[in-house]
Amino acid sequence: MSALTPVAILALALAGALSVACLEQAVAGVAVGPLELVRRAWRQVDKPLSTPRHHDAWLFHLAPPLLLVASVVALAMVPWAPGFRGVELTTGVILFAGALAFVTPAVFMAGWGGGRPLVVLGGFRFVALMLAYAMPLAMVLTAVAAPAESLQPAVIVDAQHAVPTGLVQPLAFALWIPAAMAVALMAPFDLANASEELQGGAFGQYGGIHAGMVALARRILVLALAGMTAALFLSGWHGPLLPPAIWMALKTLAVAAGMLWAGRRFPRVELDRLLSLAWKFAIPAAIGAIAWSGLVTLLFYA
Amino acid sequence: MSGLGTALVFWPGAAIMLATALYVFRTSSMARAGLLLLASLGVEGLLFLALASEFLGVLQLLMMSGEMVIMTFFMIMFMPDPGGLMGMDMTHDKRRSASLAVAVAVALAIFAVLTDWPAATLNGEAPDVRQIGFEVMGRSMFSFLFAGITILFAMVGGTMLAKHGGRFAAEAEGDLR
Amino acid sequence: MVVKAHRRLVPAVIVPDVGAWAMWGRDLPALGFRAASAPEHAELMVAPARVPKALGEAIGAAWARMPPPRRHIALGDQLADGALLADVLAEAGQGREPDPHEGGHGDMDDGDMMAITGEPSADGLVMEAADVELGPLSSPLPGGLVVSASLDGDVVATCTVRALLHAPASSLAPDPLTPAAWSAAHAIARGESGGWGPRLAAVEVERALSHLVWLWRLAAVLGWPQLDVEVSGAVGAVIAAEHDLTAPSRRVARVADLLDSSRRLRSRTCGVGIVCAEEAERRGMGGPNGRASGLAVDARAEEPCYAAAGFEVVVAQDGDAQARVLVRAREAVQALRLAERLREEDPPAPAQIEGPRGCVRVSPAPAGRGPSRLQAPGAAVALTLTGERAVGLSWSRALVALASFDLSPWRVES
Repeated sequence: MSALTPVAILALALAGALSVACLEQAVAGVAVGPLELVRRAWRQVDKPLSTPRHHDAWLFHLAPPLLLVASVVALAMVPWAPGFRGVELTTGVILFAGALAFVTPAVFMAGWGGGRPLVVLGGFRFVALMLAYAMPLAMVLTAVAAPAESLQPAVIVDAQHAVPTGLVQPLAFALWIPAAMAVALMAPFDLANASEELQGGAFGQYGGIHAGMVALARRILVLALAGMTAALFLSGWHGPLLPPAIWMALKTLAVAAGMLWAGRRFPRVELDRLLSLAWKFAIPAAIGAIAWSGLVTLLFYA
Repeated sequence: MSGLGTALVFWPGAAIMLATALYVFRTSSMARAGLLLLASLGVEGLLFLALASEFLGVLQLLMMSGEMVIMTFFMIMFMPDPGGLMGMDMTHDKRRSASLAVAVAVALAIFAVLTDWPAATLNGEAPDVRQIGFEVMGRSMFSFLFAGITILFAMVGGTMLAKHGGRFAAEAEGDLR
Repeated sequence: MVVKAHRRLVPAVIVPDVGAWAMWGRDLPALGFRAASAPEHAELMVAPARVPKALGEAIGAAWARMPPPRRHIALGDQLADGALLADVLAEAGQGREPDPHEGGHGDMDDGDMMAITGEPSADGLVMEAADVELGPLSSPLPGGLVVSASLDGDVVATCTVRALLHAPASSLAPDPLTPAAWSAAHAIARGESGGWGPRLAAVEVERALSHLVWLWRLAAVLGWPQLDVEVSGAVGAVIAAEHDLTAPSRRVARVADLLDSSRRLRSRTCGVGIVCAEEAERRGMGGPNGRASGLAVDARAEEPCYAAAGFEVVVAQDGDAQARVLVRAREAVQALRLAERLREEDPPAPAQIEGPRGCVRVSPAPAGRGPSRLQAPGAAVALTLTGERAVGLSWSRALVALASFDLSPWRVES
């Protein structure tokens, strides 16, 4: 990590958010150029802030920056290429999960701060959703870290130079994808920001630069999760012929496109159904995934 | 991090941590109280990071966020005035509870000052992760499991009691089973 | 996937709603407008030149919440009666601007009360109840419908649905959303004997469009972009079709296939808002809602011309939201087929007209004086029944139940 790393990560966050936004439009079957998207974003940011009539000012105004910081910290943990590994920590995977954990208070604060009953309900819904996705997410991280014997994302990438973890641990991969989509507020798990159901959802009351921050943070979250999925399960920058960074970019974009496509393909899930699936199936299955990971580690990696 | 850098992060961080912790008791909004506590504990996590205890720091950030939000949620569910707008007084038995709190604080401070803390500094590649792993899986396992299961019982029990008619009420139509 | 260069859809407050404009032959997404999720996010207000008086207050409130620079456009003169949009907005402009600094979190007005209900909802937890009002504008339900619910946590404890709009007695169509059905009913009352082929074909096309528009709203409630895209395409095709109905038929059939095959849809709609056959019969529920509950009630079943065109009553047995989805999807496919056949023929006048939401009747005034009696049996029942069905469900399920009944915001009083 050099002094330039934070600058590089911020630049990556902005450029990546723009490409995710382009990808969103492409998945929706609409071709919109990046310049047009920048113009639209500027239009949004240029609008005045909105302050709803019944709101908890502190929580309302702090939620968008918190969401943005959480998403940027998560993005900083993703290893992109051998020469650009983001912020390298020996516990990078845990800090990645830790940054994602702060999405929950941010959404909760936005909802509670918004003050309207249905908007508050949006914040509450995300807390319930967190109870569904957090355990599988954290447990799958453990399962993925075991073969590499490290919590450092770059080391986990290098441990997959022969076979991607996604192939060795398909169960963990299958549990990770929906959990990652839920934490990134992506459809069909967009219960907290279901705008038609909740009069705009948890972020429905924001205007101007607040709304711009939320939109940016959501794109960065998608990028961070897609990047981490590529790094942890699809052997990151490893691949034949092409340069490592290109492989990583292609894998990340493919994962992001797949997630966005799934969000359009399915109707929104129901919260109680999701909770019951998570606790009755996903969490026991995640324990199974950890056991499988231990077995594989002992037999092939140790 | 150098000694000066650590000090520059540590002391303001500690001040913010204490201030937010104090404000927990100054607000009557359950949402604000819970999130202020999260802020306090989050800053504590950053302090761990500044003190080069990387694993404890990131773990603190990871665990506290989820836990404090769930706690806030339960506080909002169970309190009659979660927004703190009806001017309800949330304190009870003030004199005794205040004196007990002061006594405990003084006792802890005395322990902290009198304890002979190990002066050794750790160096090298994250030895603390391994040590904490052995600690959690060995000597401290019983206490960790005990604490975890107690919290789980408290949460399930609290929900049961909050149900209409309490634990033994007949199951109403549409009850969650 | 069709990739098309797309100009930006302007987020707008649409009065009464996108679906109503589709029924009036205006494809707003194709014109470049989309409904904003909240007035705060809208740049524009799209409304007819005359707006119903009952919506005046809501329009003013939405206008006040729209951020500057806000604009409004009057698209057409669909509603002959009502206040001028410009007047309504001018009046709203004179009103007090909401003060952003006023009040704290719990200083509630406009129905955002929070208090303890005391009575527990279906999950057995006593919680703060929140009174929620959805509509009459910017809601996933038809513009002009107001849902007042009290939520206990996220479970609906009480729910009433009101239709705000009411056409004056002098107007020809008490429900401007289904003009073809009402004009056909008037033609029966006048005793017209010719031109029934095109007239009935128009009723059938209107039925297909009305069912599609209803599906459009359901897609919004379900948060299902794929269905939304498919239905938008079908709505646009039906609106654009002049004579050749093959293109719209194909698109509508695709929508029906999608609905038939989706397991995810079934997980959201099966068992939601059940109305059993016995209750449907007792309370006089007609139209597609009745047919979804297993009642073979359809005015078209008695008509020889429909039988000749190959009409069969579409009935489902379960009486839940899924049954209502399937009945309407099949009816939409069938309606376009019937329209193609009927247009070529010259059948005798039918005895009754089955509109998109059930039978519509016009009885001539006694002695030829005064307005005729207009009846749409079952419309009022649907409103109360819908509110009852939402109680005890979680908010997302309740919305699916509410949206599944296809309520009209226009009251038809005889």
